[in-house]
Amino acid sequence: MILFMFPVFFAFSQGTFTEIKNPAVFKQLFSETTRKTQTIEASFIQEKNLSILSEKIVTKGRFMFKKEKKLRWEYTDPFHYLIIINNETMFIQDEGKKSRIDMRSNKMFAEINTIIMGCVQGNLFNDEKKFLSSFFENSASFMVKLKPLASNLKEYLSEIRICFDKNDFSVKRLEMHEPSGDYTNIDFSGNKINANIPDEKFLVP
Amino acid sequence: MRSSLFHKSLLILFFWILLSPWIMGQQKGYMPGQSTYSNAIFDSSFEKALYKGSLDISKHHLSGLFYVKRVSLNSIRILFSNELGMNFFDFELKGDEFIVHSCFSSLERASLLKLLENDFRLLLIPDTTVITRMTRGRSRDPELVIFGVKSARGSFHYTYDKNSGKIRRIQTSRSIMGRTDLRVYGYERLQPTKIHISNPTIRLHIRMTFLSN
Repeated sequence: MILFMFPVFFAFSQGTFTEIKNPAVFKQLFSETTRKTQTIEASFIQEKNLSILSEKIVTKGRFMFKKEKKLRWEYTDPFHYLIIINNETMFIQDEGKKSRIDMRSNKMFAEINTIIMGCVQGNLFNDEKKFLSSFFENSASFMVKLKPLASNLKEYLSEIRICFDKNDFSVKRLEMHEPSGDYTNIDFSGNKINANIPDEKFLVP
Repeated sequence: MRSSLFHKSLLILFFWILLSPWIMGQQKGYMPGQSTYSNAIFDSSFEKALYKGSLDISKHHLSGLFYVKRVSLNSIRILFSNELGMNFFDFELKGDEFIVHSCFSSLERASLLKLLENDFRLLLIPDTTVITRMTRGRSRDPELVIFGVKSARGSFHYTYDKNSGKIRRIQTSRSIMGRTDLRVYGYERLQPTKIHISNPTIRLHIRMTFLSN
């Protein structure tokens, strides 16, 4: 399993990651950059690696984020699936089926929302009650490893890794590792920071 | 009187012997698993398939991807994960065994696991046990053929497409867990393009739409 995971990890990393001795500097820089970020737009390729079956499930899509709490996460290939988060409302369109969830009355979805927003913005490590964070870097990227502390999260996630571009702190890769050994990588490309994204993109029908 | 009864019995026996090859031949020709009609939805040459799908149980709705893969001659894995990639469950049907590799805690209830095992066994593993009784049912649709089959696995109604000999529907007989109704629509090479498994008693619905191999 470890041998299988390492080539994927190094192929992305452009050099071995070493632990950052003083994460406060990283956090400060990160905070300054994200404060200026109003919108993010990118394409993504998601690859679920089934460790035991030696198979990959690849899906593709596009996401948009707008401060404070607006997100559009859309799978376009090989199926269509849309999630829109607009403040406290989550909307899901799965083929013909449409669901609208008020996250104030649904703890589980509120938690999912926190994780998705935290992953997209990269600031999940600020939630010290839920995650134990460690910080790494190489020549091109920063990486934050997050180990869930809450038992309900530990059940389906053993570790989250978020990789940032060193130049603009945009999220380049998200890795979600499961206790079973399966893991999902989401690689972001064509990132546009602070491009104009109309509010209509986040309208909940 | 006795002699008359004896002769009648002899006559019945004679006709039965005379006609039995024809009757048996008809039955044999239609028997699931024989040449005319297949007893498998996923036959032995099936390797793997990815389905978009959902699992509804009571008021809960889970959606994501079903990944089905033959891992050996007598073993098939079925994995269901959400769109973001996190597993709901990972099951393996290996001969008579049902192996739970992983399962979301809210789904990990013995009765539900048993039901899912039975449903996936019905879908993925053909019944090769001895058929003890078989009757031909009536279909309103002239394109379909229905058989009532009792085997060591249980009692079922198989509905076949008359032309292709492929399974279109399997219904189990009523049990404590209710009746399972499995429907498949269209076949693309080695697998159906749409699958709907329902168990109305506990309001369980599994819907799968083929994406790729």
